[in-house]
Parts: sequence; C-alpha cells; structure tokens
Amino acid sequence: MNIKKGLQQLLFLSAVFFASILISNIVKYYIPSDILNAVLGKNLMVSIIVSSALGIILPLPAYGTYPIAHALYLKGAFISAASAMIWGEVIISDVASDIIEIKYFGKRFWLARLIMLFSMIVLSSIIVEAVL
Amino acid sequence: MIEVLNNTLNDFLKVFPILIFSILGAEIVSRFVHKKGIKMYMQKSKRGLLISAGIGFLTPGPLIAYLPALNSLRKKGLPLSYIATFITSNSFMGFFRIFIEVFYFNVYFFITRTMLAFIMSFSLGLIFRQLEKKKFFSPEQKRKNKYHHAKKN
Repeated sequence: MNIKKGLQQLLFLSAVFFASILISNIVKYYIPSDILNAVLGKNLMVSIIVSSALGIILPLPAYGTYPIAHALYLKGAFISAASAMIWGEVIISDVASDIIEIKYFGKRFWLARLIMLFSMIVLSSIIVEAVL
Repeated sequence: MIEVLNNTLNDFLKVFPILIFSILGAEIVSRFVHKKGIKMYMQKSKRGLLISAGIGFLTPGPLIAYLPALNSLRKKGLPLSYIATFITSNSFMGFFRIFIEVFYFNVYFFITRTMLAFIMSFSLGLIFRQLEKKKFFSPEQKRKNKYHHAKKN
C-alpha cells in the first residue's frame, strides 16, 4: 500500500522536479548575472530576506526548490540565500496541511510559528554564510 | 530554447535515481513508523523538547499525515510547544534530504543546515513554552482569568 503511494508521489514529484529544473535552466540562460547579483549577491541581509520570501511564495513541494536555489547560487547569489530559500519553502509548502494546522491548533499558533521561523531563518542563514 | 530543454532533460536524468531513492526510501521507512508509536514517544517526552525535535527529524513523509495524531495528543494534554517543535523539525529536516542536498551542494551544507534546523526547532519550542505560560494561544482563558482576578479583588 505504501509502495503504491510512494510510486504516486514519485510520479508527482518527478513532474514537479522537471518543472523546477526547467525554471533553474531558464534562470541560468535568460536572467543576466548582474541583475541577479544586484539583488541576491551584494547585500547579505537583503538577499536572505528576498530569497526566504521567494521560498515561501513559490508553490513547490519539499524537494522542488533545490534546483532553483542551486541555479541562483551558481549565478552569484550568496549560499545563505540558497539555504534561506530552501528553508522558506517548507514554511508554506503544502496549503492543505497549513489549513489543517490552523483548524487543529489555531490561527495564533500558525501565525506565531510563521513569524518566528521567518526571523530564525534570517538569523540561521547568516550563520550558514559564516560557516560555509 | 531547445538547448534549455535539452539541458533540463539531461539534468533531470542525472538527478532522477537520487529522487527515486529519496522518495521510495522515505516511503519504506514510513511503513515501519507507526503513528501510535509516535504518540507513545511524544507522551513520554513531556520533559524533553529535544526528543520531539528528534522524532520530527526521524519520521519521514508528509506532515499532513501526522497532524491528526498530534491533535489527539494535544487533546490529551500535550503542550503546544512540543507540537510546534515536532512540526518544525519534521518539515525542516529529514534524513532523506541528504541525497538531494549533497547532489546539489555538498555534505557540509547538509550537516550545517541540519544542525541549525535542530536548534531552530528546539528554540521555537522554548519560545512557545513561554507563550503558553502567558496563555497567548488561549486568549479567552486569559480574559476569564483576568476577569475572575478582578472580581476577587
């Protein structure tokens, strides 16, 4: 039963992953490095905040952000920006589970988690930049 | 555009075996993880946010599958701080992410991020514990308490 579920998930994630690799290649080929550099490669704080917000907004599941984050990193974004994007993505990756979370534990719980995690992601990304 | 599509297909074929391994691996592991077992450990771990973070890290699969079990635990009296820690560590970390992260970045990237995610989950639990003490998540209860306190005075 779980293997069948796994195969269904694999098919779905493969399609999403293909789309995500396509986006990353479009970034590689069509977005000029200097524009990307100006937003994600000059000011550390700006790049972390922008990329984590991008991660939250992008409607991709768990593994979907990796190719895009990697493409941005290759184009000159800080490694912390790539990390912040991957972290940001899991805050609101699945709308269904967010709705259930609100239903079970309340709006305050969900909102407090979102706000605190956003600030923790910013802080942790600075550490990532210092360590890596 | 043809070059982009060509590269996309090549990149996809390179990463596809890793994707299969990660997803099927997580599914196989989740077959042996019983939600009742998670309930038992979470109930036992009332003194340790660390254990909640650890369980969240080790349990694969989508978070949505664990939310009903967490809700029933909450009804039995498990503090929200443990639930917040579990949700955060389950979504931020995961053993099977290692293959994808190492493929795109490197092993140090995975280790650093996992350690930081663990710290974030634990810290979030600590903050939530303080907020719970101040009845932040149950404003009605807080209002009632204030009312009774004022009435007594």
